[in-house]
Amino acid sequence: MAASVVRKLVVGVSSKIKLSTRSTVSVTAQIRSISFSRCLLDRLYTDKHEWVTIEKGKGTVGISEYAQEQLGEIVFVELPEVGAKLEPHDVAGCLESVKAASEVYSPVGGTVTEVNKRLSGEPKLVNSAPLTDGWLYKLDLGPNTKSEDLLDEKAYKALIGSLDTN
Amino acid sequence: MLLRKIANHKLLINWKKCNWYSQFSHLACEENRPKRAVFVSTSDSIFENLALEEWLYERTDFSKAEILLIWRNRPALVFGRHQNPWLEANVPFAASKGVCISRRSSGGGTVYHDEANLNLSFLTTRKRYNRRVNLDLIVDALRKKWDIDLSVNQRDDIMLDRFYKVSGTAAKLGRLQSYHHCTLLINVDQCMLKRCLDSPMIGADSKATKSTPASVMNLKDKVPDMNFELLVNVIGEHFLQMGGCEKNLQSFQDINPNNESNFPGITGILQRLQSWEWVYGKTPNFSINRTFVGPICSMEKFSLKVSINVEKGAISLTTLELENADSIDRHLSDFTQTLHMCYSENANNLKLSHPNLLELHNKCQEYLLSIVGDEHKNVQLGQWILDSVMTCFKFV
Repeated sequence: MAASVVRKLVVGVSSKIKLSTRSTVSVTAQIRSISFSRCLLDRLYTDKHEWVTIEKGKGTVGISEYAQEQLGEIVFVELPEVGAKLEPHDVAGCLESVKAASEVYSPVGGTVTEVNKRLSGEPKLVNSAPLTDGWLYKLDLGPNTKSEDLLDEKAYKALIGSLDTN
Repeated sequence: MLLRKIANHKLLINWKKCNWYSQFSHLACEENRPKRAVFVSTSDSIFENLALEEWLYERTDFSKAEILLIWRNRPALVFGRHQNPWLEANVPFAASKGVCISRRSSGGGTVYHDEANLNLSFLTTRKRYNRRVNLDLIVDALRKKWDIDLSVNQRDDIMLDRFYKVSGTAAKLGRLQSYHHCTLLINVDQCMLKRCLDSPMIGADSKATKSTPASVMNLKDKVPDMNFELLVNVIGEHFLQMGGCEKNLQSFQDINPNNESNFPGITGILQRLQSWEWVYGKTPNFSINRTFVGPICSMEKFSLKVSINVEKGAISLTTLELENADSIDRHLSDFTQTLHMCYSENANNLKLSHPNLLELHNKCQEYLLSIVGDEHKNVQLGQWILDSVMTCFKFV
C-alpha cells in the first residue's frame, strides 16, 4: 500500500527513486544539470527537513512543514550571525521546542546576509508558516554551490511518505 | 563557529581507535541491536560532565552503541540553552556560596544540582530518540525495587505521588544523534534550591525560554534507604536488560572525563562550556526598564527612568531620563544628560559581571565629583541617580 502511494507520487518526477522491497525508500536525486536561474524559487530539501530556495545566487533557508510538526510548539529560534560563513551541513542555528534544542543544518554553503528578525519575538511563525513568514536566514551562495544531494518537492514528499509508513 | 571546528576535528579522528570505544567490541548483546553501555562519571564537576556528554554526542556512532551516562556533581545551577541566567536564578547569591553557574546545550528550564541529585543522560540516534521510553524505563526500574508511586506526566516530568516533581527533562537533537538527559532528586538541599532559583531581577523584558516552577520533593523522603549508588545500579542494570545486554566490566564502568588522551578534544569543549561567552554571552537579548522616585532626603521629587539594553550579555544602550514633578529644570536636564553620556561612554559593550559594574560605578562616581563642585543639591541628586542605576544591576 505504502509503496504504491509512493509510486504514484513519483511518476513523472525528474528524480530517480529506487524502491526497495520493504517499506524503506532510498531517494537518489538525479544530478541537476539545470542552472539555478532555471529553477527559480523551486524549493529544494535536505533529507533532514531543511529547505532552501535559490534566486540570483541568494538562498533562503527554512524548515519543512513536516519538521515543524515533529518539533511541536517552538519557543525560541537561535539564528546564525549575519556575516557567518557556512559550509553545507554546518550547524546554522537551533530551534527550541518542548524542552528540546534541535540543531538546524545549512542545506547549502555561503555567507549569511540576513536573518528573520521577526522570529525573536514570534518564534511560533516557524510553526504557523514554515515555508513563508517563518523562514530562518538568507545567504549569498558559495561559488561552488551544488544542489545534487538536495531533493526536489516531489522527491521530498516521497521521503516523508516513507517516514510516515515506517 | 566552535561547533563547526569540533565537527571538522571529528573527521581527523579515527574514533574507533579511542581507548574507550574498543571496549564495545567485547560487549555481549543480542544480535541486530545496538550495544548498550552504562558509564558512571568519576568527576563531580558539572562542566566536566557536560563536556563528556557533549564529546560522546559529537563522536559516537550511536547506530552501533547506545550510552547511558550517569553522574552527580557539586552544587551547580544549570540553565537551558536559550535562557537568561539572571532572570532564572539568583546569580550573586549562588556565586557567593560557591555554586557553579553553567549553561547546557539542551533546551528547557533551570535546575539546581548538588551531590544528592542524580543525572542521567540517554545518548542515542536521532531516530531512536524517545524521552518517554527513557522516563518509563526509570520509573519501571524504581518501582521494581521500591514500593513508590511514580508516574510520568504530560510535560515529561517524573512525579511522586502524582504531585511532586522529582525529575526534570531536557534534550538536544542533532542530525544523526541525540541525547535526553534528566535529573532525579534524591536528597537535594531544598533550601539552597529555592534560594538559588529565586531571581532578584526587576523590570526585565526578555524573550528567553522561561522555566516552569514546580513543587519538588526528594525521593529519600519516601524511601529512606535511597542513595546514589543504589539508583545507579538499579537504573543502569535495567537499561542494559531492556537492551538485551549483559552487565559486565565493559558494559558497566566508571569513566573519568578528565582525560584528553581518551577523549581527544574534550578540553576544548570544557573551555567553551566554562567561558563567559557561553555561560552569559549566549543570553538572548533583553532590556531592563525601571522608574525611581526620589531622592528620599530632598524636598523636591524627581522621577528617573532608566533603560538598559543587553545584547550577548553586554550592555548595548543605557538611557537616563529625569523628570521633575512640577517642571523640568533645564539645568538639571543637562546635568542628567552629562551623567548619561558618562554611562554611554563607559558602559557600551561592557560585559555584565560584578567587577565590571563596580568599576563602571566608580568611574561615574569620580566623574560626578569632578563636575558637581560644591553644589550640595547636585551632589545629592547625582548620587541618587548613580545609585538608582546600580540598583538596576543588582541581579548580576
